[in-house]
Amino acid sequence: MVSLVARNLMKCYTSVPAVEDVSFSLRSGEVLGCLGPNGSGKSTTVRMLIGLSDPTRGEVLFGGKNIRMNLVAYRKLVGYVPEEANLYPFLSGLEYLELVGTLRGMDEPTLRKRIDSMLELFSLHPHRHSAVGSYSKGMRQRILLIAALLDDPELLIFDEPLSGLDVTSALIVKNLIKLLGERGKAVFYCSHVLEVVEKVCSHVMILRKGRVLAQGSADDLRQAAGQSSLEHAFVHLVEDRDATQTARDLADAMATA
Amino acid sequence: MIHGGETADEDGLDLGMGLLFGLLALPGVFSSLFLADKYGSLFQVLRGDLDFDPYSASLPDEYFFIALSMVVTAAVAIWKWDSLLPDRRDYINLAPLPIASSSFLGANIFALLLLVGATAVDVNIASIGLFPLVVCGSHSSLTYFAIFLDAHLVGVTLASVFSFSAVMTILCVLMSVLPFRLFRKCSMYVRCILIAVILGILATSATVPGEIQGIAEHTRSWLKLLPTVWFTSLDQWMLGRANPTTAMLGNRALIATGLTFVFAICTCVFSYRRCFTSSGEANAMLPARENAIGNWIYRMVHRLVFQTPFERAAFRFTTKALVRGESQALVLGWFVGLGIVISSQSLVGSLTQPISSMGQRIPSAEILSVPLTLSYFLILGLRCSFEVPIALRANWLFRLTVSPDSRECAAFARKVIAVFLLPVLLLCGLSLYASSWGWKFTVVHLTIVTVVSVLFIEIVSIQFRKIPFTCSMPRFKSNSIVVIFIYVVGFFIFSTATSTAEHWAFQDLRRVLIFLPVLGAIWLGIKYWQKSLTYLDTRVIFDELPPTVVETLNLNTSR
Repeated sequence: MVSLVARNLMKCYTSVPAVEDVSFSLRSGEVLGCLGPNGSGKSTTVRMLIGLSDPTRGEVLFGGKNIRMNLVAYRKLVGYVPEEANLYPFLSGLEYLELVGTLRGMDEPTLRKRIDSMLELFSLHPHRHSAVGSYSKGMRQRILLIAALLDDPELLIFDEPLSGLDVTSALIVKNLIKLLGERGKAVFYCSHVLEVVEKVCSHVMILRKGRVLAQGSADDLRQAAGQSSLEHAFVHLVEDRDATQTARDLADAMATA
Repeated sequence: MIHGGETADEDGLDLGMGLLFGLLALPGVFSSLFLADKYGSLFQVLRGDLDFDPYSASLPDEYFFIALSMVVTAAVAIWKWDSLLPDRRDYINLAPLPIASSSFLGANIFALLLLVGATAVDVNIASIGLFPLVVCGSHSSLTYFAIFLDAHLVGVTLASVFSFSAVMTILCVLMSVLPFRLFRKCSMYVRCILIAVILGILATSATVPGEIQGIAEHTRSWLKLLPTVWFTSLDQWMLGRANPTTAMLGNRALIATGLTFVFAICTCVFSYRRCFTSSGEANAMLPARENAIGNWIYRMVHRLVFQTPFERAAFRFTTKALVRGESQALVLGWFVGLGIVISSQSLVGSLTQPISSMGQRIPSAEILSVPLTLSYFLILGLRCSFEVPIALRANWLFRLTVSPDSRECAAFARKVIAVFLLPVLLLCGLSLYASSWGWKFTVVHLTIVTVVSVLFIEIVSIQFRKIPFTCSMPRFKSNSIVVIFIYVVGFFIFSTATSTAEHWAFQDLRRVLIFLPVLGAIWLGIKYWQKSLTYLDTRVIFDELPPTVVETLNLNTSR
């Protein structure tokens, strides 16, 4: 059983802390949802978890060892879907996935087989030779998902994986995440979509202004906040403003002469 | 048309306006200043040239400035080829606005005129300011100076307008005639051909000016077809030095400029609607199929050269980026085009000389320099194009999968350059030498060229610590001019000196053995240099950052 542990993570940009004292643990079979408003430090945390950014203080442990000890070996065990679908537009979908698989050291027959089956399952097989630059946002997102799953990683880190996906694909991915948890993968899932987090995550962590505001199962958070749903609990914990009133103010501003 | 610095990561060749205009004006400044000794009265006295006529003496230099003006302006138009007409970004931003498309067209034409004007002024301002001063400096008459200034100003400015309009016309005609997908496909090839053409025009500066005064008696009418000759004739006509033929050619310059300009505007208007509406389809999914031959070649090269997963993935990525990335292909095209022009000149020049014989036929130094020249520019072109990033924001993939401590980058770059170079060398060597000079010379010559090229590849990639195309562009540094100077000197050592030495050695093949200790010493020097590199000189980078005052070694983390 592997586990990802973040211990007192802190990240400062020009002395301003973007993330401060973030700690959590994630074991195999768990799906940890990370919620927070814009600028709460979710993406910064993710970047530290995958080793793209060094923490100013604190450490990330995987299997009890600091990931910095052998970053390449650690990353081989991690599948990552970034927030933005930045892919090489001049490569075809197939070429991009081959690039990912080869860089991860997969052998060619296995790689080819997996790419074919996953492209088929994500309905991208007919477009596999077209340039990624011509793909829609949802298609690029599906390519990223395939790239993350290709090497059957132990740990999956998803940053807004449903962004741009159509209803069917989103449904598939939601079920997939749940299933991956059940099959013993550790999944770190960042999202703004509370309903999805509530449905697929076994544990939830709420960030606000770079700090952990609450942590536990969705039921625990609901009960602690004394709310009926995770959405209400989140609003209760995080939002300073009344969303209904802000919407009304915006509509009024549009009509102002 | 000229993006600011904030989008520089998307297009690696975005330099920003200030630096771009500075660079464009630079050749004019240097060329004018280098001519000071030719026209200085003191130098004339020292040379004993007391009947020095600045107007006559300036003809070759005037031709060069006209050629330079045309080449640099055309280069700007070729470089900004995709931005001259509205692109996808413009379409997305402008199409939803409640503005008539005729307004966009007007704005686009106005912007184009502004660009032509700004480029023509910028490219020529140094030569307009300095060259007449340099030429007429020893003359006290202001009229003499004013006439020369007038003629030079009109000649170089019209040459700029002509070349920009010509490129613009080609772009718009292709846009109007070809189906959009075909236009996009052939666009890069047309640009590469245009690069070769403008380099060829610049190369004529060495030979054509001497023929202009006697052009009336010449039967070689191809000279009269050169636009540079028209504009030089126009200059001569304005100076009052024209004969009937050059006057006619000067007139042709005026007509050609007017016609090309009008034609460029007309074709721009004609192609605009089509271009604007098809911008939205620029990213439409094109049907494509698997390239079986390409895959077979990749498998072969993988088996023979690239063994590790990193090398295999990076090689596929590099070749595809090089072929499909426009900026990258253009940078390589510039260098290869220059190499082809210079080696063609050597080849043509050598054909006019008698073949020397020492009991057996020996290729001349010029002919021996052909593969060396091609090799030099191909190596430099590849090395420079590796610096131009492609889709920089997508490089997170390499950041995630490649260890920063990996030392594979330099070795990988060396292998890629060698893979591109060797077929060119073999093809060039076998076709040029084997049939005319026999296998013995061919094998010896190609061996020397290969060894010298491999050493040069080692030198240019010694501090290369990037995966090609994945790192941000190096900033323009104060030592960049020195680097360019070193490249020029390097060319003379690599191509001219080596081929001359080879020619000398081939007179008695035993002399070839002298190459062994020289090349061996260079190889040892390279190895010593490689060993002296520190950890910071070799770790993989994805961002070109300005050097910091204090470098941290990150000793708290394991390497």
